[in-house]
Amino acid sequence: MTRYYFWLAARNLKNSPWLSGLMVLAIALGIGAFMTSYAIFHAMSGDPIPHKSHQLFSVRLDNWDPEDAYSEPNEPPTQMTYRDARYLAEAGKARYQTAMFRVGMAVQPGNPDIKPLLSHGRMTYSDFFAMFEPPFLYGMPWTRAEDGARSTVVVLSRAMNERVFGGENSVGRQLRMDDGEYTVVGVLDTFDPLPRYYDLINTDPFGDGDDFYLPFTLNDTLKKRPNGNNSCYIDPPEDSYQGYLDSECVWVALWVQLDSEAERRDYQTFIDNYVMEQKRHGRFPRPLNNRLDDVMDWLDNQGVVDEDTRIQVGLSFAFLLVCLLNTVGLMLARFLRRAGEVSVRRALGASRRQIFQQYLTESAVLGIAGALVGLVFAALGLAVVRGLAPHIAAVTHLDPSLGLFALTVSVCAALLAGIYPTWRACRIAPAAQLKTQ
Amino acid sequence: MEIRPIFSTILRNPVGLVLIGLQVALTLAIVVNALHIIGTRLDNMRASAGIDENNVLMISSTAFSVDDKPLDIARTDLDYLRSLPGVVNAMAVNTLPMTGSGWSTQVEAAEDPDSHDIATAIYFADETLVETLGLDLIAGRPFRAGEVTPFSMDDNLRPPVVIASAAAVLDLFPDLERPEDALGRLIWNGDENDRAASEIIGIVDGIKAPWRGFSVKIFDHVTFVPHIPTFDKSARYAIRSEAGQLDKLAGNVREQLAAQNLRRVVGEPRTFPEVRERFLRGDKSMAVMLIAVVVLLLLVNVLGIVGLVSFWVTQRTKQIGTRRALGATRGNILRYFLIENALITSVGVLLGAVLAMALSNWLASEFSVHRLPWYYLAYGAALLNALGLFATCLPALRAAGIAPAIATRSV
Repeated sequence: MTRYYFWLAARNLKNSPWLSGLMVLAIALGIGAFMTSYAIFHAMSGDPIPHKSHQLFSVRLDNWDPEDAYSEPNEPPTQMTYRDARYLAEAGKARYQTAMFRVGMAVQPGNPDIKPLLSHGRMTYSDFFAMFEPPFLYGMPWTRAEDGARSTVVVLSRAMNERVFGGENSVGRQLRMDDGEYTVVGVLDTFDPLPRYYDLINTDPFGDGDDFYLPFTLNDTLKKRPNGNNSCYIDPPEDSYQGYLDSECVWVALWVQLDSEAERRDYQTFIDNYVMEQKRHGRFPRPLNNRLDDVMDWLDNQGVVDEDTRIQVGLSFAFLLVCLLNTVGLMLARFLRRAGEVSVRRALGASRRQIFQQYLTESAVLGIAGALVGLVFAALGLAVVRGLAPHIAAVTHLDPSLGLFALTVSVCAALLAGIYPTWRACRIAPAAQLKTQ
Repeated sequence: MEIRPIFSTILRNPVGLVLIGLQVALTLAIVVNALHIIGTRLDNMRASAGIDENNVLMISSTAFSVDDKPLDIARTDLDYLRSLPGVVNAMAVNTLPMTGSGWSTQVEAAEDPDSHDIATAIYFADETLVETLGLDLIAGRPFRAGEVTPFSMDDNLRPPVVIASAAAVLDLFPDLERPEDALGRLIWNGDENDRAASEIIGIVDGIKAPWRGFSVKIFDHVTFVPHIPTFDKSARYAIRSEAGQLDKLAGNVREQLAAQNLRRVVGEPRTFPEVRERFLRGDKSMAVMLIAVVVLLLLVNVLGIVGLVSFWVTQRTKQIGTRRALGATRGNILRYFLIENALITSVGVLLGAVLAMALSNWLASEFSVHRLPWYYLAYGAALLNALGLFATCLPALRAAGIAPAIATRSV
């Protein structure tokens, strides 16, 4: 019987192409607009490391101005002072932990045909690789022992290795950066978590990552300034690099991996005790306000899904609602116009239930047609968005699951829109209707 | 006149009222809020940076080693850049307006005990600032060569003299009527324990900060300090080309500069129009998206009304024929539908106004959006009423054309 209803629906749609077209168009426009903004929202709000996003934590300590929070409402700074981050990273209280900051360095390839280039990398600990799991193309990370020994080793990104070593296995080769020579110990494969959750402060969450990674401890000799966000609420105690390291300026990030709730609690106690201890030395004037945020909480806290995207999703959903109201009206017009047909079928023995099924099937067919056209609209919409905002291009595409989602939304919406008109169609009294014919 | 029978017809079958009314209400709520956001974004896109936008570019140089004396490199580079044909002037900078990154600090009026501090962007500049950036210096003087000193990352900011934006001084000194009067006033710089006063020697109009604050007002707050910055081993230069020469300069300057000194990396030049385009990209895409939503929404609304009224006309063919037979003119029939629609739309608009304010309040509380000004509602209501009447006209004219003889036939 269902097949027959589908056949009837298709025939009826063909019989009044103008009205059918209008209904499909209304649903399709709503679905198209909603899916365009939802696809962007979906891409931006994804979990970049699903298998351990609950184990990786961004650590924040509140060393800020006693009078003013770093940002309202009472948020601690997004990064840490050098001394705190370094102490906590080397205390080793978590399973894995790393302090890190971004630097810029002049890379001078050995091959004279390749011009020197300015590149941006990350000073970090070997635990970085265990925590964030970037895939290696060649070689492997440096070790904790090499962290301690301040080894002059470097891990390159795939793009950097292609640029400087033509993409070959460069493990063991030397690379000159700024004043120093570094031994390549590893080359990463493409590493583009979306968003780039481990550094939302200093990189575009949907942009390019780091060109290279160096042991954090090398900074003892390199004395680098961060190539990224630096905030101070009070000037450094003296005008020197050491004064900067000892200052309350925040520019280093700290991440830890904690595998259980118990580990998380212990670590919270550990950093709270650390801050209490520091308070005795006159630091940390604000009340205790230390935070451990796992990946998804951190993405939320930092507003990775920007306001514009959220407003667009909301407004386009409201637009979809208007399209549905519209469809209700058009369906009503369509179904009631066929009152005669309904009456004949009822008079010939069709039950209300069967009429109901027939007309709901017709709504579903409209929903499916609307979804298909709507997906075409969404694809067009996304093409326009890519032209307008290239950095979103990287993250946005219509995959099968989004297509299925659109189909579900569309069919549900069409069924919802069809319920009232269908109910009205079922209530037609056949006798009265037929008499007036 | 005919309002009462129309009203009772609507009430007897309120489905149309509910459907069209709700549609109009939601449309009004979305459209006025979207138009308000679009208006803000278009204003953003019109903002001028306060410099000679079409002829300025920025380029960076990073030395291989601190032993290469970055300050000497910067001075040599600047002499070279200033000697290039097609270059008006050049200076070392830390950033430019609208680049999205830079340095900001709090400053406050030095002689006023109850002054409040304001956030301001800090721009490094030398004696050529007015000429290099094409600034609008409305009072005072540029820096003198003797006042400009080197600044490294290890130094704390203690400029003896500054040049400030007009908007910044007006916010700093609320007693002033004209920004020009701020000349000679002192502002505090630095934290509470270690303050230094800087004298305002020049006022610049229209200059913008690198970013736009929402909760913190900063976009119009700029303070120029007389320093040549060298950050670590890097320097950045702003170069102003002669009118129309920017692209040519941008095409050559990297190679030319790189050839001057091989122990460094010269970055890709960024022309100000590129900087600006990037800065406004988000505003532009938001505006385009919302304009699309508004246009489609109005279109869907019109189509919906046309569809529903057409249905009513078909349904009421007999009644219309009867009325015509009883002496109603075509105008009466047309008017009937128009008034009916105007009534329904008005109910929708009233409900929509409430919804629009609720939506606006929600947007203002959740996002960086200001409250909706009332006149948006007025315009929106007028627009929807006009569109409603227009949409009704199409099927209503068909209704008016129904012949009285129809009434005597069976269907």
